[in-house]
Amino acid sequence: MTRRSRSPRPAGRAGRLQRLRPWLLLACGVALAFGLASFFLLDARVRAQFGQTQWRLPAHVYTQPLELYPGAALTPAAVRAHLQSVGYRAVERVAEPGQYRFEGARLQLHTRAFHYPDGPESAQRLEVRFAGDSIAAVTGPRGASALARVQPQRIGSVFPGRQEDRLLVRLDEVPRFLLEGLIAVEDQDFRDHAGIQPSAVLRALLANLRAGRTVQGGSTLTQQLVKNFFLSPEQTLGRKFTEALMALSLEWHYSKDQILAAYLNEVYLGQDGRRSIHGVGLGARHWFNRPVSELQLHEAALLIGLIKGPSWYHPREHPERARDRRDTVLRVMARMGVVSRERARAAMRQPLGVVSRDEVRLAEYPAYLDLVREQLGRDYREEDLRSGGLRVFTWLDPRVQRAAEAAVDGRHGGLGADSGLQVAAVVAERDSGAVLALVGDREPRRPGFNRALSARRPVGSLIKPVVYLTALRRPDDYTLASRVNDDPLRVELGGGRTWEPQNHDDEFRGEMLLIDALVDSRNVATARLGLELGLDAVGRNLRRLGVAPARTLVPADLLGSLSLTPLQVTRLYQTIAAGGFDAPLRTIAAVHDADGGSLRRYGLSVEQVLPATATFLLGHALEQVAERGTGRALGWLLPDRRVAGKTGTTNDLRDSWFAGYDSRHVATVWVGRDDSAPAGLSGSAGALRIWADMMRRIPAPARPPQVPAGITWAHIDPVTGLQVSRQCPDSRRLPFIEGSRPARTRGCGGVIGGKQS
Amino acid sequence: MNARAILWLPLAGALAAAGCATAPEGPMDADRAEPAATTVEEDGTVRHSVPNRAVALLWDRAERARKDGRIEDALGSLERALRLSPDDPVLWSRVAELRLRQGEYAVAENLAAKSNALAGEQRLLRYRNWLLIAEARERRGDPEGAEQARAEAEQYGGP
Repeated sequence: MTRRSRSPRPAGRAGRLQRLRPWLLLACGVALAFGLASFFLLDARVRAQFGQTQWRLPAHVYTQPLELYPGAALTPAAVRAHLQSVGYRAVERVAEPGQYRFEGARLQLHTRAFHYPDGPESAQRLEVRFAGDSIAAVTGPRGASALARVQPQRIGSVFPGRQEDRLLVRLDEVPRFLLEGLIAVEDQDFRDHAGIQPSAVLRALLANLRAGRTVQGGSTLTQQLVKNFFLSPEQTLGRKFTEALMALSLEWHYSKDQILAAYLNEVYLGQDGRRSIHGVGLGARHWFNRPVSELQLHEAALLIGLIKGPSWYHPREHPERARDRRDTVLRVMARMGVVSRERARAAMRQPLGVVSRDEVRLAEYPAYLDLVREQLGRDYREEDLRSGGLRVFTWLDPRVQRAAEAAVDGRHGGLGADSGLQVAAVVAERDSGAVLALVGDREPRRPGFNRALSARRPVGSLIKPVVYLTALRRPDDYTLASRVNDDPLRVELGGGRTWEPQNHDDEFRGEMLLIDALVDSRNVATARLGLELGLDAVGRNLRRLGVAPARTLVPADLLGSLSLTPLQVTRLYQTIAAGGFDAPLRTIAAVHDADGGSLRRYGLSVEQVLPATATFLLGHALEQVAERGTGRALGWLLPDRRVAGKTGTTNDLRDSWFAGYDSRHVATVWVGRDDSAPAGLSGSAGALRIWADMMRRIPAPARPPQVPAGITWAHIDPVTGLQVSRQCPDSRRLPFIEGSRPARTRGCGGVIGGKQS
Repeated sequence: MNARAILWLPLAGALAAAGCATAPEGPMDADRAEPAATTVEEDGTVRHSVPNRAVALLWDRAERARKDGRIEDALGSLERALRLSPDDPVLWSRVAELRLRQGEYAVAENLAAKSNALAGEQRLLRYRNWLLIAEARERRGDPEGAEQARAEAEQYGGP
């Protein structure tokens, strides 16, 4: 129409126009096509990106939950520490999830719902009664016994670094006043508009013109979401146009609730170091250490206020500003009828309620997470771990980890003032192999070289049990009462070289019982025994225990010139501790996807690699080490505890080791220097002290090990190794594999010791 | 399939007997007001004495899941119970049985052996475990090993 009306114009211009017309048409067409194409492209992008996985979520890693059950060795203080670490509140009257109250030895507790590795569990009211240092009873609302646990602590990321973090929430978890308050403050017409609101833009434009700067956004929630979700932050006209198109597209394809939910999960609410806090779920956790469902009005108002500028209104740094902003939000909420004026006024009288940063900072366990990362890497791609929103449940037990960290801490005596000394520690569950704690540096929270996993050091006498095990697996030839020889030994190595092992006390004791050679850690007797058995046989048992030496063994390996990491040592001792059943040392209990669906449960699995009988004999000897041998300091360091283990010391006191176990745990401690200079500590002086201090902090029942079938007992003369009457004064009761009991002798045997009775 | 169905019957019976033979361990908690922590199946056969109520509740939960065919859930409860009471041979045995059902024969055999190592004087539990081992070996294609395991089982008598 327009063109036609323009046609009767002067011929000169008309002619020019006439000639230009095809070009103009083409240009218009191109522009239109381009506009349409870009709209469809944007539209497709909106649908593709918004419809699919919406969020880049780093894998969330959790510790173990806290199990509350009768008999659990848990003090009120330990339970309180866990409750605080997961943001439970001490209150006068327990009324809601996330609250507790201690009254002497009674704990009133209302747990929160949580999606555990074995399924979701709803909130429940409990009463926990303590008796001394353990739990006596756990009862539910009607006094019935209850099965109870408290949610695990979330810990640092497996891939630390700059990242967006969020805790996704569903709309039905968000309190109504938070939803309505958000709409009242940010976008009053949200429920009615089609994604953009020209009148609001105009209003904002005028306001900005009047002020000479940007004072109003005029963006709808949808536009804000588009901007944050799809676009970079720059503000240009073209960008505004794209934003508007995408907002329209979003509204066209998705419901208001979907858009609102996305907004609530997207919105930026603060910064924690290199981690940016997104969404009201994590926002509520970061600022108030609560789930969003537990937010109170004044807290929700502050969260809404923060959207405008999380650093400008930073409640910890600018509490006054934050308070003004919060009260403004409350006034708007009252004016818009979201809450009554009285409620808003009451909320204004509340303090900000923001918790300290320390309370919500994710606990960093870099050493443990190294192992988690390694084990996750076997089954998951790094990309999925960085952004796939996986939920990873680990076996990390914060109490055990704290115990290990406290024990290595120089201030508590562990390493003393020698800053050059380094340390590593591993604690695992004895039967399941679940790794409970890991320390890889004398400053446990310092990431970097992880000695527990990576420091390969000569193990010294720690290896000796493998030699004795090799012997005890041949019950026809060896028993604990066999006689071994500790006289000087000289081995021709070929090429004119010889090897002459020495004992740590530079003495030779001659003939002695096999068990005593291990209990007193006699080098020469052990070397002679090992050579008698053959290096190949010892090597085979080493491999059965999960340690594959890189080279064929040499005689000096019988005394521990072999280098292993603390983790490898732990695996070796785990198998011995668990009666010959090897359980892989695992950190991961289960992995869930972002929606709580179980991707994988890492079930219990053991493998019998050693006969129960021979392993039991070895275990008996290792208990004796702790009772009267090189580990006898444990007798007074850990009174009333039934432990077994072995010290390890290398030449010139370069490495100090202790590996051992009780009825529930297996643990290894290494102390030394990174440059392998002498540390000046023997196994019993350095590592053993730390080991004992650590175990003292992690209780375990003092139960004797179960005697397997095929074991008999006999009283033995300590010198001749012959069976004697139980009345004989020096006789010792020792276990034997059936059919291998030594010959009986008359009287008390001790002809050599002259102790006949 | 038939062989399997036949197997479960003696196993269930053996477990019942083994459970009855378990020396009841006093509850570790001081809560004397509560009855002894034992669980009984509806048919009144399986009896499993446990050190505390939590393990009893988890055992019940695992049994319900097992009967509903929710094997993974049952395993989850049993493994949780084992973390509270790692020396309980009946729990290990039940885990072995469920892993056998899942077709994890090697794992099942080792778990049954673990149960045996903790079984002490519980002859009928040992009997049951050896039958489990025999079944696992049979299915792994080791008839000789299975025969040996059955001979071991006989040593501990039958139900």
